Formats: sequence, structure tokens, C-alpha cells
Amino acid sequence: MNPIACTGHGLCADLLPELVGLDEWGYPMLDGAPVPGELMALARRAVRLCPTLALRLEPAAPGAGRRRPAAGSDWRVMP
Amino acid sequence: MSGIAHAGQPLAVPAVVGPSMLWYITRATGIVALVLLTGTVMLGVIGTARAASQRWPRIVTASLHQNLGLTAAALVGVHVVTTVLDPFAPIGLVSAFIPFSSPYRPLWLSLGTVAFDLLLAVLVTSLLRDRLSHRAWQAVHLLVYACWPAALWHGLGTGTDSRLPWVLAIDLACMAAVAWAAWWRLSLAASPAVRGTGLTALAVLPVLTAAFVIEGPLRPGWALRAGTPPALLGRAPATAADGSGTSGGAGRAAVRLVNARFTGTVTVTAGPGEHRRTVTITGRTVVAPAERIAIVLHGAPSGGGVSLTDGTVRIGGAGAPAWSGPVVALAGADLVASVSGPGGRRQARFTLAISGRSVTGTVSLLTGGE
Amino acid sequence: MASHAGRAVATEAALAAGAAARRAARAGITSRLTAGWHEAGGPATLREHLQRYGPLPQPGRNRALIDAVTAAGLTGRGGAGFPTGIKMRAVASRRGPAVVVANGMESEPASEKDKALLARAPHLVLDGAVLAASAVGADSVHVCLPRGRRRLAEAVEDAVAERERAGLDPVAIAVRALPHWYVSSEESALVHWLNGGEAKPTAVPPRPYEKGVGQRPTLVDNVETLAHVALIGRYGPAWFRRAGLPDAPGTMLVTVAGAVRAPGVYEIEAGTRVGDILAMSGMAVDAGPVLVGGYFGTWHHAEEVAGVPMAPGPLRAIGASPGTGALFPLPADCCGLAETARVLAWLAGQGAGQCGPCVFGLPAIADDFAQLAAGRPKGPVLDRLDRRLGQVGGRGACRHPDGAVRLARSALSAFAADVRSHLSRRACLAAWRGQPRQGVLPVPRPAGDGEWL
Repeated sequence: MNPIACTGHGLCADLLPELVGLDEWGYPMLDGAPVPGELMALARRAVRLCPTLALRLEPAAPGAGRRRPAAGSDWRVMP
Repeated sequence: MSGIAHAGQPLAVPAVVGPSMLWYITRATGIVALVLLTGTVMLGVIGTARAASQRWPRIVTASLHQNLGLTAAALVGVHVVTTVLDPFAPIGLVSAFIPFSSPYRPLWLSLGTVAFDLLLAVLVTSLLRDRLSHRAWQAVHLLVYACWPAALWHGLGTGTDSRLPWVLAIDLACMAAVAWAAWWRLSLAASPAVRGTGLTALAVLPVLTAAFVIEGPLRPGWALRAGTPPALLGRAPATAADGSGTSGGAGRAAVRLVNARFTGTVTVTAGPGEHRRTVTITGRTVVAPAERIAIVLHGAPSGGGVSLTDGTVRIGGAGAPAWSGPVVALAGADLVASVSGPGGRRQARFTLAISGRSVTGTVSLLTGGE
Repeated sequence: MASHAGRAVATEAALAAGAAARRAARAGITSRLTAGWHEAGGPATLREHLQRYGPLPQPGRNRALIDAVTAAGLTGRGGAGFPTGIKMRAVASRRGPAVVVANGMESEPASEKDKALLARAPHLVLDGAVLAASAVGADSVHVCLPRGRRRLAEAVEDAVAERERAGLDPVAIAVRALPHWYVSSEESALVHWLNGGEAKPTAVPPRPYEKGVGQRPTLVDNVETLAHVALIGRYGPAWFRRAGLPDAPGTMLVTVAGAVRAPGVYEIEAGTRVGDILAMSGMAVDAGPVLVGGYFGTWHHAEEVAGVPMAPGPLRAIGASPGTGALFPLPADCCGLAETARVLAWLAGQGAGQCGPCVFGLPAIADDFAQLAAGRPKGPVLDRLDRRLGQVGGRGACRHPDGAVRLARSALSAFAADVRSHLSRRACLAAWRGQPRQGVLPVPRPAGDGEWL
């Protein structure tokens, strides 16, 4: 998920409560775990329906789809 | 007095055509597309307002918005294609994209063209959404607030059926729905400048639309004032379907005609009334038993010919007309009448070829199954 | 180690000329960057600089410098501690002309070292930048400074003009003034601003070393790091390694403030024990816990940290990091919770405002802390804090919320006694000794739009 694009609409949590939780301000919390096969179709819909296109599916391992956690998370504040 | 046709040319010149199936499809898809677009806009606004309930979650709004929008776009596509293909009005493919390129009601048609162009832009950017920046996509998507009113006014101005009560009711309902949605969306908008202009537009536009409708389509003669090319003004009334023929006398055996050839003569006389002409075609079918054919058409002089507005048809023997009724459609060399006689109501179809003062053609008397 | 630190204070004052400095440098005494700072009233001129350190090594597209920096084991002095040689190699290995950015923003309010370095020895920084530019194949250097510090920018611009007159550098140096937010000193924020955007971090790859300023490979280095590069280029990696530890070679600048008699910027050998540094600056005997590493650092009890070398490895073992080398022992009459609450509130306002969890979470955490510090908790504040501190980190485009969370957690642990007394008796231990002094941790004055002077 691109944390800058996300504005907390929460459609992803509606579609995939098994994978996406919401914090107290309505922003999604993703654990980066691979998406199980039976939820893949729902995951694709969530990516398509996100109003700001903040969500992305990334392959975790060959043949598996994975929800990506906060993008750019290894950047430093003080270089 | 000039004849209604030049030698060897069909009745279609000068451009006496009537509505065909394509014209009906155009009008129907136009109205339904407007309704669907209204629904799409409302769902979009509900999505922006992040409104949801237990039984109506955000995804339903989002999904429905996308699907309804696609359906509306598809219907608009059919609407445009049938309009372009339909030979009644001189609207070509270019006019679907470039405004003011058709002589048919230029202003009102161009509103539709503009609405179509905007809709295409929104559709394409939405389909290619993952290649665009969010801001770019959003900027184009906002154009739908210009597209919808254009579509509405296009419908009011060009719509053949604008003055029909149920169509007006639909238009009014759509306008009320979008006005409410826009008002709600504006009340959520951040900047006061946007709110101010939006609310002003929201107050002014419906009033303007109402004024336009009352002064425009609802007053007779709108078609001419809207810019319909004069040649088309005489098309036969499309919706009048109740024939006026009497079933006439008793007991003739049911007439059966399928593509029966006939020959006859054509005369043009003045009247009834000022600036009116009557075109009379009388003839007989060639193959026995010979049926009499009488077609009487009225109209006004136009250019070198007559612009026809209505007529009646009679098929049958002397004395007791077997089948008669009004002409309901005139397209090119084809004429369709709704006739009644023994056995109920039938459709009579003629093709006519006029050469000088003589007429040849075919006639069919159809039931539903033929 | 303690003797080195002691000698640093004593001998620094004795150094004056270049030859003496080189002798002292060979002896491994820590006045490499800071030579002559005490005596000078302002920045060293070009002539003084060249006299002190010797001529600038011949620049050229040479791998030799990158190899030397790698062999020297220099790590970034801007807080992240990334190996500089690896960064330089990454930029050099990409095709096309590169760009060098010298990061002098120093957005950490508790740190003064970069300002001091630029004010006293700008040519060291510029030397390093130019040498790095030649080594990675860059044709331009941008020195980024906060736009509120007009005099500092002028001093650096004067130094650049001196070098231009002497025809010293083969690359163009531009001094740029950026809006000063806490987040604007982050690498991607600098690059974003130089590319014409806002001075805020970006979440989308590519990283600066791949495509930075003008889509060119960009080397972003802290000004102190570049100063070390300038000296490694002159004296070599072996010389550099004569100071410090094998794992943490060289010297570093630290800022000491708070409950100390002689606050200021010191140059120490990396690995000097924290206790020795604090003793060197005259820490008060009754000082409270020490904030190690600035506002994204952690609070530690003095006993816990006294024997720990000031180096990434040993500090990580106690959950700390050198950061930008700021050390702040809390004065005895101050309340650590109140100070932390102030800092958290400021940090909450210094976010880029781009990501929800930070925009909403940090102010909520700061508010909870303020309640705690005031002894007026609304509801189960510790539970709330625990939950929020767990949720806010790692969900943003940059590490800003993570740093604030780290600070908050360490405060709760180091000032646990205060937490208990605030919650039960509504006052802290400092208050028992008298009215707690407020506002010792520097929180900058706002200058509109979140910027500060």
C-alpha cells in the first residue's frame, strides 16, 4: 500500500477483513502476509476498487500473491 | 406545378423520409442512458461522501458506480451509433465527435456531442487508471459534472419526445436527483470558493432549464426553432398508432398480399387549404384478383417538391373498402400504413417507384407473423 | 579511551598551524575536523584551510577515493550510519553524470554540529563534496541549507566564491536554501525539492542513488561525512582508522547540552564511552536520564549508558543509536515526561502530513503524553499509549512516526517512576524538589507553516 495515497476510505477492510484491519482513525493495517488462494479474487477487487489506487498486489513467492506493506518503509529520516 | 419526383427517381427525393427502427432505438437508448448516468453520478457522490451503512457497504457503492457507469457508456455508444446510421437525420460519424458539424439542430446536437466526448474521456481515463497519476485521473473525472447537464439539455433540445409527460417526468426526476447529489457533495467540499460557485450554479441551472423547457420544447414549432432541417419537418407522426379506418363492409374474403406488384398513376393537386398539396396515387395490383390501391398523401410545397406530413391508404374493391388506415411511416421509397379491415388491424407496406406520372411498386399486407 | 577524551580538550587549544595539525593528526588525537575552532572567530578562510590541512588532492574520476573511503570504514554522520563507500560506489556504478548533494539541513533541534562545522570549516565540507563529485562522476554539487539561516548560507556562499576565484574546483557548487521542516532533511525530501517539488519525503521508488536530482544518480551525504571524506582523501584510510574502534573507525562530532557545565560541539573518537564524553563536558552529579541520539533517540539512565561506547554496535545492544550524536542529560529540576511531551507535540506537528497514521496517530500520542505529564489522564492512558505506539510505527512513507514512537517508549521506561507518581499523586519526582523547570529541551520557534528558524 502506498501510505501517501491512502486516505482511509476503508473499502479494502470491508472486502478483506481477514487480511486488513483498521486502526482507530480508519486507516488500514496490513501484515504483509501472502494472500491465500481463495481470497485472491477478492484481493484483486480490492485493488481495483480502492478510490485512490493506493493498494497493490505483489508476488511474494512464485505462484502466490502478496499484499505489500507500507511502501518505502526502509527510507531514513536523517541521511 | 412541379411533380413530386423527377423522372426515374424514387419518392425519396426531395428527402421525404420517416422514422425507422433505428430512430426509435436512438431515442430509447438516449433516455435510458440519461437515467443510468444520473444513477452513476449519484453513486459517485455517495462514494465521495464516504457514506455507508451496515447493509450498504462502501464496496457496493464503488462497484455499482463502476458497473453502472460502464453500462451507461455502452448505451450511449449504441445511442450514438444508431443516430449516425439512421438515415432520417443528416448526422454523420464526424458529428459524433465534433460539435457543430451537423445541420440537424446544431446547438442541441452539439451538446450531445460534447457530452459524448467528455464521457469518452472519463471512460478512457478510468480504464487506464493504473497508468495515470491520481490527480490526472481525478481532474478528468470531475468533467462528468459538465457532461451530465450537457446530456440533459441535449435530450431536452433534440429529443423528439421531450414534450411527452412521462419523458418530462423522467427528466425532472433525473435533474432533481443530480441537484440533490451535487448539493450534498458541495456541502462536503473544503474550499468556500468552490462551495460558493457550486451552490450558485446549483440554484441557477435548474431554473434556467425549467425556463428553457417551458419556452422551448413545450411550445409548438420547437422542431423548426431548434434547427431541424426543413426537409425533415414533414415526417409522419411516429406515435400515432390508432388508425381511423373503418372495417367497412361485410364479408369480403381476407385479402392476402405479399410483395404484390402494382401499377398506377400519380397526380398532385392543390389543397386542402392554403399552402397545401395533395398527392394521389391510384392503381391496381397486377396479379389477379386485382386489388385497388389508393394512396392519398398531404403536405406542403418545399423546394421543388412536396414535404409530406400525413396520408391515408386504401386497399380493396370499389364501393366497400377492404382495408384502410393512416400512413404511419415514410422512409425513402417505403411507405407503411396501419390499416384496419375484416380480420382486424394489419400493416400495409408499399415500395414505390415514381416515374413522371406513373407509379410502380409492391404492396404487402402483413399480419404480425408475416 | 578516557585519556583520549581528556587529551582532546587539553590539546585542541594548542593547535594552530597546519604542520602542527598534521603531527597531531598522525598521533590520532581528536581535533581533525575541529582544528582551530576555538581560536577562530569565524569561518576558516581558504588560505587558512589549505595551510592547516594541505592542498586538495588532485581530483579525477578515480576509484581510488571510493576504495579509500570504503577501506576507511566511514559511515554516514547524518544519523543513519550507512557505509559511505558503498553509497558512493552505488552512485558511481550507474551510467550518466551524477549529482552530489551535501545535506546541511540538520533538522534535529538537539544537534548543533553541522551548523558549527559549516560555520567554522566550510572548506572541509566543500573539499569533501568536490572530491566525492569527481569520484562518482558528478558534474554539480548542491549544498542544502535551511533558508532561515541566512548568515550561515552567506558564510558558505563566501567560501564557494573564494574557491571559484582560486579556480579550485572542476565542478559547479550551488548553495540552496530549503524550507526547514523536521522531515525536509530526509534524502528523498531533499531530492524532491531539488527537482521542483516540496521538501517532503516521497514514498515511490526509485531511490536517490538510482534516479535523484534531474533523474540522475544522486549521492546525498551529511556535511560532516563529506568533511571526513576530505581528510581521507588527503591522509588515507589508515590514518582515518587510527582513531576510533575497528567497527566504528574515525572521529565524530557530538553535541552535548542539558545538565552540563560546558555545553557545545565536541569532536571525539568514535567509541569513546558516553560517560567519558559527559564527564568531559562537566555533567552535573544529580542529572537525570540522558537522551541519546536526539529527538529520534532514546532516554537512558546514566548508569546504564555511562560505560557504553558511542558507536552503533554497542549502543544498539542497549536499544539506542548514536543518531546525529546529540547527548542531553536531563537537569535534576526538570520533568522528563513533560519535556518529552513537548518534544512529541512538536514532532507531531513536523510530520509531512502525507500519511494517515502519522497525521492522526502522532498528535494523539502527544496528547496522551501531555495528559500523563500534567497528571490528568483521561481514561486508561497507558493502555491507550501502548496500543497507539504499537500501531503508528512502520506505516508511513518515512521513518518520522517511528522515531517519535521510539522516543515515547524510551521515556515511559526511563521515567517509569515518574509515570507512576504522575498517575497516582499527580506530580513528578522533580516537583517534589521544587517547581519543575520547563522547556529545557530545545523546541524551535515556529516561523509559519511549520517551519522554524
